[in-house]
Amino acid sequence: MSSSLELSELVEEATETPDGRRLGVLFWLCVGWLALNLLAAVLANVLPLENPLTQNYNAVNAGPSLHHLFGTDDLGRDIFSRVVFGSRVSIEAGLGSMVIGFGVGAPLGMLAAYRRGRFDQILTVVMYVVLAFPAIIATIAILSFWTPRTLLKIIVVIGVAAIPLVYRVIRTATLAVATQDFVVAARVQGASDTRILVRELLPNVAPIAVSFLLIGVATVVTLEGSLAFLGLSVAPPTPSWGNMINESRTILQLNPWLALFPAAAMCLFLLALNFIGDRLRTHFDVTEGKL
Amino acid sequence: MSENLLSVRDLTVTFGPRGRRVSAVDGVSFDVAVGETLGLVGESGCGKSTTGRALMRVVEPTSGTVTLEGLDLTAASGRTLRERRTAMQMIFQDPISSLNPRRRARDIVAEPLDCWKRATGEERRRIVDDLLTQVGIDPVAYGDRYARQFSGGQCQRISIARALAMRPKLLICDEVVSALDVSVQAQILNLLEDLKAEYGLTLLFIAHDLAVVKNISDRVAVMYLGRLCEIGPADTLYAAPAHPYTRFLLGAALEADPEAPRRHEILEGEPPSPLDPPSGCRFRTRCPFATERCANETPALTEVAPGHRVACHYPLRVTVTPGPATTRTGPTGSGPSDAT
Repeated sequence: MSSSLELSELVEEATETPDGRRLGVLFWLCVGWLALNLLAAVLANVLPLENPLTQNYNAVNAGPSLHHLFGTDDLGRDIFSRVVFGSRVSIEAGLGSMVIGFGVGAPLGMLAAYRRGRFDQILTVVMYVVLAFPAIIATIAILSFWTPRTLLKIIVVIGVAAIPLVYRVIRTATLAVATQDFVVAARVQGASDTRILVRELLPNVAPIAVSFLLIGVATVVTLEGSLAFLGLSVAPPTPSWGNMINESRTILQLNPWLALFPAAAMCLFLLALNFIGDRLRTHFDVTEGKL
Repeated sequence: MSENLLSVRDLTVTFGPRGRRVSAVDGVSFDVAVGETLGLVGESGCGKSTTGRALMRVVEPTSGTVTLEGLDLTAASGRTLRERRTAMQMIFQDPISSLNPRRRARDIVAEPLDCWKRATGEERRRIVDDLLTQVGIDPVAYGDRYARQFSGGQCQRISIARALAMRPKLLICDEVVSALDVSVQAQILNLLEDLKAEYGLTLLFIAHDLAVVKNISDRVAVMYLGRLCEIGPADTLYAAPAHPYTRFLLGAALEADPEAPRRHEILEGEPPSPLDPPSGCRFRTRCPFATERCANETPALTEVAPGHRVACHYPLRVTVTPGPATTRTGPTGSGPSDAT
C-alpha cells in the first residue's frame, strides 16, 4: 500500500521537476501504448472480439480484411482476437512472476542491506548459489516435468528464479542509501527499524526498483515467448504470443500474418517497457546527481 | 565543577574479526558537566567520531559504560534505549547526506515528533515552523522544498532544527562545520552558540580544527589513536599543553599571520596502524621524549593541575608536582618548555 503511495508521489515529483526537465513525448506515448495493451487484456471478454478459439474452415489462412483485421490462422481463428487474448498470458506471466520476485526479493534485499552482519552474509550466499544455477535451463527442466503446465506454474517457476536477481539489485541499491547519515539520524531520533525501512530507505530505493520492475516484466515476456516456442508454455489452444509464433513456424510461407502480428505486438510491448524503464532510470539518476 | 550530565567510563570500541581487530577507541573516560561545551580533537582516524557514535550506541561499544543523567545507556536496549537516547542528539559532518533527499524540510524536522507522536496537526506545524525560523530557514518559503534542493549550510541548519525537535540535553556535533565554507562555518557556529544559550544545551564538539574548538569549548579533550591524551580547560590546554602530542598538534595549526614565526616543530610521520597499536603509550613511536618506560607501561590520566589531566609519564609542564612526574629526568631540560 505504502509503496504504491510512494510511486504516485514519485511520478508526481517526476512530472514537476523544478528545473523543467520533462520525460518527453515518446515516454508518454509508450505509457499510453502500455495502458492500451493492459486495458485490452483486461477487457478482452467485454470487447466486441471474435472468440479466439472458434474455428472457421471457410476462412483459413486469410489475409487481413475488414472482417478479420489481422487475418486468420490455419484453423480459421481470428488473429486479432488471438493477439489480444494472447497478451493476457504475456502480461499475467510478466506481472505475476515479478510480484513473486519483488514480493520476496525486495524486502529481503532491503532488510539484508539495512541489517548487515550474519543475516546478510548467509542470505547473500544462498542467493548467489541460486544465481549461479543457470536459470533458463532450470526453468525448462522444471516445466518439462511439472505437468500439466498451467500459467500459474509458469509464473511460480519464473518468479522464484527472479528472486535472487531482485534481491541483488535491491540490496545494492539499499546499501548505497543505508550507509548515509540520515539513516543514523533517524535511529538517533528513536525511529524503529520498520519506520526507517519504510520512511527513509524505501523512497530512495523505489525509483531503482520501478525501473528494474519494468525491465523485469519485459524479460519475462520474452522468456514466456521463448518457452512457448519450445512448447513449454500454456498448452494450446490457449493463445499466447509465443504459442502463436510457434504455430506459425510450419506455415510461415503460406501465412506470414500469423507470425507477424503476435511478433509485432510483443516487440512493441517490450520496446515500450524498456524505453519507460530506461527513461525513468536516467531521470532519477540525474536527480541523484544533483545532490 | 557542577554536576555531570554525561559520564563515560572505559569506553572501548573494537571492529573486525579476531586477528584483524581494529582498536578504534580504547578505554576512554571523561565527564561532561551540565551546560558546558567539551571539545574533542585529534587527527583523522584517532577515534573521535567513533567515540561520539559509541556514546549514542549507533556504533555498539565493546565495553565500558555511558551514563546520561544518572541512567546507564549501555545497559538499555530496545524501546528503552530508543527513548532514553533522544535526550542526546547528533549533528553530522556531511550536511547533504544528513538529510533524506526525497523528503521535505518540514517533514524532516517533524520526523522525531512523528516518531514519538509528540505533536500532531496544528501543534506539530507550529513547533516545526518555530524550529525552522530559529535556525534561519523561512518555513513559508522553504518548508515544502525537498532536502536535495538546499545548500550545505542550509542542510546543516535543518539538521540542527531536527536535532532540537526532541529538546535534547546533549548535542553531539561531529565535525559539523568541516564540510562548509569558512563564512558559513561562522554562521553555523554562532547559531549553535545562540541555541545553546536558549535551550540550555550541553555540547560535545568533535572537530579537527583547533581554532574552531578553542573558540567554542570550555574544556578540550585530545585523542590520539583511540586513547585520550589530555583533557583540561581550553585556555590552559592551549596556553600550556602538558602532553607532547597536544603540543605538536597545536604547533601544526596555522597562524592567521603568515609572517609570524612558527612556534613549534612539526610532528613527523604517520600515526601507527590501529590494527597493531604500540605497547604502553600509543604516542611513544613518534614522541621525542619516549623512554623504555613508555613502551612498558600505559600512562594513566593523571591530574597535573586542577581539572587538567594528562596521560603521559613525562608531562611537559608541571605546576603541581604529582607522584610520577618527580622521577622524570630528561624531558625537562631537553624538551623545549617555553611553550608560549
